[in-house]
Amino acid sequence: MSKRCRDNLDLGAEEARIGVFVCHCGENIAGKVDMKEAVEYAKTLPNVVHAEDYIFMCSEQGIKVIQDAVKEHDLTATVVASCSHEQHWKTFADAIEEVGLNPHRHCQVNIREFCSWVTDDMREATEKAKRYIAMGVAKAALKEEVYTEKITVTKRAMVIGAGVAGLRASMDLAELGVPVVLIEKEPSIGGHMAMLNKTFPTDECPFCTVSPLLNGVMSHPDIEVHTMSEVTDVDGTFGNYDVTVRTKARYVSDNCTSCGKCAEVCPVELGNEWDRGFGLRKAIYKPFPQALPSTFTVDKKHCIDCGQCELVCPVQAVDLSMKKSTTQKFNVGTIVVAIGYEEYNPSEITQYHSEHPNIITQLDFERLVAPTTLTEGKIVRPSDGKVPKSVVVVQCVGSRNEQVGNVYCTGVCCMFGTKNASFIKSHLPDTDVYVCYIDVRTSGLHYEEYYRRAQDLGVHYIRGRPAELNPDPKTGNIKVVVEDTLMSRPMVIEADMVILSAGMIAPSGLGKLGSALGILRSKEGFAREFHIKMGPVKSSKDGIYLAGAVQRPRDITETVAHAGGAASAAAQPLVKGYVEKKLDTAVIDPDLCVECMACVGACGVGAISSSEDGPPTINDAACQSCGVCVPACPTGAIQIRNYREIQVAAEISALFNAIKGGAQQ
Amino acid sequence: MDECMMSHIDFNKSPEVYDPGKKDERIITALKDAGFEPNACMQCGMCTASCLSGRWTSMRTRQIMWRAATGDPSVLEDNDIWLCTTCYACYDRCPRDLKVTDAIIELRNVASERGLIKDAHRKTVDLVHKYGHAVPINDKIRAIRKELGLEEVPPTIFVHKDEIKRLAENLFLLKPKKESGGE
Amino acid sequence: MGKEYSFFLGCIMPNRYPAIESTSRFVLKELGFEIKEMDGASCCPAPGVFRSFNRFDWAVAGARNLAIGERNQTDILTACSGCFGTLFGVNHLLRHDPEMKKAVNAKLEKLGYQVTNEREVKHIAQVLGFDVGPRGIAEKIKRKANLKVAVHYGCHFLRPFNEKQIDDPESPTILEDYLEALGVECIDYENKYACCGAGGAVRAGDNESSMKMLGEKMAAVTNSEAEAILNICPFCHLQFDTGQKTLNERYGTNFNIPIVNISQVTAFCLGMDDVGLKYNVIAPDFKLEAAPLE
Repeated sequence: MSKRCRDNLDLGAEEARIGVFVCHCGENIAGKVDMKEAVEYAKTLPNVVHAEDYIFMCSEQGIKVIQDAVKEHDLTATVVASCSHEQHWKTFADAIEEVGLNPHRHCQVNIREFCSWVTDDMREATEKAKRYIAMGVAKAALKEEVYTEKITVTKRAMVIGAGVAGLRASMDLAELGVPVVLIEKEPSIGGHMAMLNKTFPTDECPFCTVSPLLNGVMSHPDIEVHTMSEVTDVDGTFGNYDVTVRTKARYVSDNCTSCGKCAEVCPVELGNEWDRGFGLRKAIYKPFPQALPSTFTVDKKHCIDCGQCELVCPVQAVDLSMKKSTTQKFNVGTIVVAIGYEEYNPSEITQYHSEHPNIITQLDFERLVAPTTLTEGKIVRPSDGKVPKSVVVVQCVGSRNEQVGNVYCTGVCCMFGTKNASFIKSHLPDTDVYVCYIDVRTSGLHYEEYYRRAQDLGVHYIRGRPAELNPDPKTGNIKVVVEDTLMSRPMVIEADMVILSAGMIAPSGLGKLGSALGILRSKEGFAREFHIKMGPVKSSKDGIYLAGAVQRPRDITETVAHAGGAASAAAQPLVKGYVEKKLDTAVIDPDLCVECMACVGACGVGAISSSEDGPPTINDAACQSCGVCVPACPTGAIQIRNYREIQVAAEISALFNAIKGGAQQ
Repeated sequence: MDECMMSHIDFNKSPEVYDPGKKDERIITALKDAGFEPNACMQCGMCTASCLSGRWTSMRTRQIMWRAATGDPSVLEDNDIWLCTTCYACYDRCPRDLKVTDAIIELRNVASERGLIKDAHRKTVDLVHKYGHAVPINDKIRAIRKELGLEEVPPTIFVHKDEIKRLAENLFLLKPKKESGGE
Repeated sequence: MGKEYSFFLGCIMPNRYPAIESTSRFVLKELGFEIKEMDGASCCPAPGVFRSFNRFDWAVAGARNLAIGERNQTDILTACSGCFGTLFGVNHLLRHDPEMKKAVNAKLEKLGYQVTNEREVKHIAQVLGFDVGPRGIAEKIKRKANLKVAVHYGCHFLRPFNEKQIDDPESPTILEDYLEALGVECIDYENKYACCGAGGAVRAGDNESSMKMLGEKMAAVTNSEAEAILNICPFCHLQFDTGQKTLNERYGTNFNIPIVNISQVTAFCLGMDDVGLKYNVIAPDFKLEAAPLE
């Protein structure tokens, strides 16, 4: 902690020399608020030595108007009556800083969002603007100088989630020189991408494509990978987060050579969740052959503790008596959330009968045709292993629906539906493949060509949303009831197998993780971005960034780009070495403090700590200036700089005076 | 040149080309009143696919809704709007949550306002005006009721002639048939 | 029990299939319900027919019937899905649209009534299926029925779902659970949840189309192992009953599936021997077969 501001209760109101600048904002403000009247009114207010209006205050010329006035009239504080604080306080604060004033001596008054934009009545708008100006002037007279402190940050980032988004972000951060702690809850890194059979639009093998990245992350000297791990608690602030991570035991230590002898002798066999039930694994297992780390894991829930694996392991890596979980704390400067998505569960749509074995989802299909599952890579239907002669792909399952599922369009299913339809058709050219759609949204690079290719292969696109999928108990076939809307013709397609393009939804772990981090969610359940256009990789909280599908459904191409953006944003403060903290934070007057410590308990972010001797200490970096400590204090000893009770009272007085129509004081 | 052999065509305006300016606002309002926002229909066909009538008649729910949504006046004279059994399957499934069945009922109301009601339906209304019931009792049933130990004539409006009269004078006063076209 | 209901009769039940009325009354009495008559009740009016001509007048006529029930100071019970569609529908509509309610009451005054919409409207199938329930009926029955049925839910009992909120129309279980207690086996068949084709003024207005739609249902039932069709609505009952005869005459089919109403099979299990199946046009000789309770 270096410079502090002058804790000067005598704010020198009498010496204030205030300049008021009223902005037209083109017609936006001037169209409703009478500019001349506002300026003339400002001139009558106490401490105002200069007032003028200008068409666009935030323009280069407008800034110059303010700066010239500061110099010419020896101003000590400025008031700009224009748009909101969020919009342009910094613009004008920086402007006066350039000509030698403390930036916090600028007071932003909103006569646009609060006045001209909320009424059609000119008289109303003008009167309200005048009152706001009076309040702003009263505040400006009492504004104290506040400085900005450079707070050192920990040069380390945490990335939560090791799917392609987290992997890309980790790699980009590490290559920028930022050490990374990568947290993954599954036994292996790789996420959904590692599960896929092909990726569009090139139909490459996804595992092959992502393999260099996977291996790169595992072997990078600056990336520390923790699998079987979850974040349970987050303390601290931007630049200095203290994250608690709980790691579950594998019951196999790191010297495992992945020879697999343990799995050979394990007597417990069950369905492999990673294979969506189409493959098997043992209680001691690797989720898939190329899992990284390649260490085996024991599924204690199904393990019968026979101990065979412990006995047979040639390097004695198996230890069934390991502690169930361990906890670690990491201190990091920024956090990237990359926990991905989940597939919508179509069982909610009762008439689609997704409980039937021959009605599967796209992710199910990806594993069905994988060479390592029970089908050995052949396209067969689940109920009886028959090669399907007719397959229907149903789009928009759980998406674009206001009655079930979600209203939004996932935006990826048109491509992966087309991908799997083409895959089936090219392997089984005699099979009829249909895609039932409402619109075909193939808008990425080479995506429309991919759709054309599917049609050339012979995939039939039927424009209609199926009403029912009726399984025939005798044959296992599914009757797809749909209207071919382009022909105005109801049809029933008897399919051997139906694949549902279920939408992408927010991952279920986001609730708990999001609460621990303190970030906001959108109404659809995804992590809420800072700004939909200008801030897609920032979360609602400083220092926490979003990468990939956790923010909204997106495909791998978009995810990699988004993750790169998140890494860059997460790296900025760490590469710079500091974050700048404005010190309009809490401050305690030791003469008034009675050391009751009530403020310590009131603070919601733990920014105030009790001292053994004397008033409590305030962590300026952590303080969010929310003000909840102020009413907690019985003596008024703790105040927020520039939001002190006497400053607020002065504003309110000014308001009442303005209403009464009289002059000040 | 024989004048009677010539037929008249206005070559400035083809009858094949639809003029959106000719839309019937009353139809658009009817849809909105029913809870069917005309522009929100994405023509996905879930309604037709759910429709029993659609499987056995020319009724195409989706198409009826599109014609109505564009204010096409011909939809009111189309027999298809009377082929809906009001089973509500489409209403329960519409992904835009549009009240399809209610919209069809509303279209029927507008058609009725213009006198487009079938004779068979007018007969049903007459029965209610006369007996208070769309399906009145007959001798055969009276006998069966007695056999079953029920009151021969149930104590409904049927036995209150004054109430039937009040009902008939106030409710379902149908517009007479249109001279040209109609059912 | 002892709960009171105003029993709304409608048209088809009293005036075409009175056996459904007699068995319903018997069942309700045996289960301890008190029935009040709705003096002066008219046609509900039929939701597909009259609502199509004039929605407002339909609401007025429906509200008149609700008012009669309200005068009895009881909830209203109906054994017909069509009447349920109207009475429940009008009740629901007026509860949510105060403007409409005011206008309806204004016209209703001319007919000598006012409606408050403070009473509930229920269908006998929901009273049997939920209020009495499988356990409740199991305690009362004297015998089970040895019967395999194709259950026909019809349309206005469960739909529209956002209004009725009784059971999932796509996959309901209320009737199957109840019938299981009676020993009745419910057979799965294609198009189980499809409409019978009578409603919406189609039966009267376009009988040929109505019969075709019925034909689809009959073909599905015939292809299954069902011995009878179980319905909860007298209009469906009429459609299935006289409709099979019409189909046979018009299209040379050989449909002959007996049609049984839920009140009839329940009355049988409660001890009534002749539940009036002889009054059906189709398979009038069909008799229900008893099975022991255990």
